[in-house]
Amino acid sequence: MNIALFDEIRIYYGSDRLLTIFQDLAGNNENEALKSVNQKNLQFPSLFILCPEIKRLRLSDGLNVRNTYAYNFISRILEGEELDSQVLLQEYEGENPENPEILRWMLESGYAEDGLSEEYDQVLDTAAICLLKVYGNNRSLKIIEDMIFSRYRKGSFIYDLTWAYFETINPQNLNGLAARLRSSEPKDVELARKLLNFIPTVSEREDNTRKQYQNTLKWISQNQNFLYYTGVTNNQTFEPARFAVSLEAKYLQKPAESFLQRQSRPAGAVGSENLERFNELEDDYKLLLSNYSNALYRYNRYKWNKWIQSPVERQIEIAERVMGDVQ
Amino acid sequence: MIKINGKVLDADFISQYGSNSVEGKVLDILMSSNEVYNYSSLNDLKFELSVRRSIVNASKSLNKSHMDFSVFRKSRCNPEFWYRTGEGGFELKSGVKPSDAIKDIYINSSKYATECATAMVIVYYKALVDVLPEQLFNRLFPRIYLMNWQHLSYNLGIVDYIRVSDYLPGDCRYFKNPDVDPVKPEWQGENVFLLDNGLYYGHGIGISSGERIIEILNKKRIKGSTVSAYLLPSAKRLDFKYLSNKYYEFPTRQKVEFNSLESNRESNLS
Repeated sequence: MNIALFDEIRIYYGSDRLLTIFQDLAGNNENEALKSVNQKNLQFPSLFILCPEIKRLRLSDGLNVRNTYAYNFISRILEGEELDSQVLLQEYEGENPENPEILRWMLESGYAEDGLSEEYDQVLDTAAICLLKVYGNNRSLKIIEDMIFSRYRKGSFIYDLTWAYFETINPQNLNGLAARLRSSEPKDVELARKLLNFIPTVSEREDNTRKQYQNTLKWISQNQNFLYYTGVTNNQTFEPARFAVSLEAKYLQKPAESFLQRQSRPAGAVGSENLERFNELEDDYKLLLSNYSNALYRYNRYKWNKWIQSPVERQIEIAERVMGDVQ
Repeated sequence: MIKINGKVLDADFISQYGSNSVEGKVLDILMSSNEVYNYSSLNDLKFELSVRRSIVNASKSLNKSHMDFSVFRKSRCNPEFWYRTGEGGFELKSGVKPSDAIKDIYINSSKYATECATAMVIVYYKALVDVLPEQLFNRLFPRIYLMNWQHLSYNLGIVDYIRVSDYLPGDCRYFKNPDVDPVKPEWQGENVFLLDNGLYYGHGIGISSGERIIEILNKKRIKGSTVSAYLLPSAKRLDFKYLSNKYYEFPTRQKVEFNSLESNRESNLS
C-alpha cells in the first residue's frame, strides 16, 4: 500500500513540519486537509500529532469513522480524569463492530513510534489493554510483546503492558517469550529471564543462552498443560512468578484448568481417589510424584495406568527407585 | 509464645512498653500466639519492635504528608535529590546522602507523587532512617532506586511470606482487585501497612479499615463485575534479624540509643 501524504511528511521531515503543512493546508482548504487525514492508509502517529490542531481548528466533525473514534479515544485519555472503560469505549462506540479493529489500527500502525511522548505511549498502552482485556482480541499480542521488550531496552515503563499481556496469554504462548532467551540483545535476555522466572531451567547464572533456551522449551512442552496463571504482578511483589505448575494436575495428567474451574478433583479421573492423600504429602514428595507421573505417562501409558492406581506409598517407593530419593 | 535463646520470655517484659504502644501490641500478639517465635537475643526482639514501631510512625507521617498519588507515567520527585527515570521510578542522585534523600520525601512531600507499592518502600526506608545511625543507613543503602517492588536493596532483606500465623503492626499486606477495570491498572491492588489500631495505611486511600479498602477497590472494578477485591494472606517483612545484627555490630559510640530516637519521633508526629 502506498504511503499516505501526511505519513510521508512526518517520516521524512518530522512532526513539526507535518503540523505546519497541515495548518497551511487547512487554512487554504479545510476539505483538502481533512481528505488527507482521512486517507485509508494513514498511520496512527500522524493522526495523534495532528489531534491538537484538529481540535483547535474545530475540524473533528469532518473526520471519518476511524479517525473520529481514535480522536475521541485520545481526547478522553489525555483529559487527565480517571478513566472508565465503559465510558471510554462505549460512549463513542455505538453498534460499530469495527471498533476493536480501529484499536488494532492504532496499535499496529502506531507501535513503531512508541516513545514519541509520554502521552502517546499512554494512549498506545490503553489501546493495547482494551484490546486484550476488554475485547479479548489477541491478534496484536506479538506486537505488544515487541513493545514490552523494546521499552525495556530503553528503560521505559512496561508494567501495565506486561500485566495485560500475562492476563491474556496462555501457556501455549510461552515459547515466544522463551525465544528471547537466546536473543543477542542482553536486555532481552534479562527481561525474558525475569518474566519466565517460574521455570526452573531459567537462571541468571546460566551463561549458555542457547542451552538455556533449549532446556526451557523442553520444560514448557512437558509442563504447559499443567500451568496456571497466578495473577501475581509487579505491583504486588518483587520477582513475581506469573505462572505455576499445578502439581495435582501434573500428578493426574489432567489440564490445570480442570482443577481451577471446578475447585475440586476432576470427576472420574484415573487416580483421583489418591488425590486427597497426595495433597497431604510434603512438597518434595508431591514434586517427585508429579514429575514421575509425567515422565511415565509419556513413556508408557499402560504402566502409568497401573502406577497411578496403586497406593500413594507404593507410588513413592517406585518413583524414588527410578528417580532417586527426595532426601 | 516468645523464646529468647530457647527460654520463654516472661510476660512482664511487655510492661516496659505499655500495652497501648506499638511494641506492646506486637508483644501481646506474639506472646498469646500458639506459634513459637524464636529470637537469639533480647536485643533482636527489641530491634524488631523498634523497627515495627518506626514503620507504623513512618506510615502515619506519609499519610499526613502532601505526597500525591499518581501513576508512574505522571510520577514526580524532588530533582535536588532524585533522578526520575524513564519508567517513572526515583533513582538516588550521585553525591546525595541516601538518608537526606529519604528524609526529603517527608520534608518536601508536595514535590513527590507515586503509586502505592513505591510508597511502601519509601516507608521502609524512612523507618530505617529513623532507627539506624545515619552512617550505618548510608553504608547499607548507598544506592536507592524507588520503583514499586523492583530494584529493592539486598540489605532490606524483604521477604514476602505466602501466609503467616499472626499479622503484626508493621506487616505489609496486599488487597487484590482481580476484576479491576482494565483502564485503571493502578487499582489492580492496594499495598498497605498494618497499623497498631487494626487499620491499614495505603497510599492513595489513606488510613482505613480493611472493609473500606475493599469497598474502594470494588468501585474501581469493571462494570458488572461480581468478583470482590480481597485481602491476601501474604505478608512482607524486613529481615529484622539481619538488620539487627548490622545494628549491633555497628560501633557503639556511633549508635544513638533507641530511647532518644523514640522521643524525637514522638515529638515529630505530634
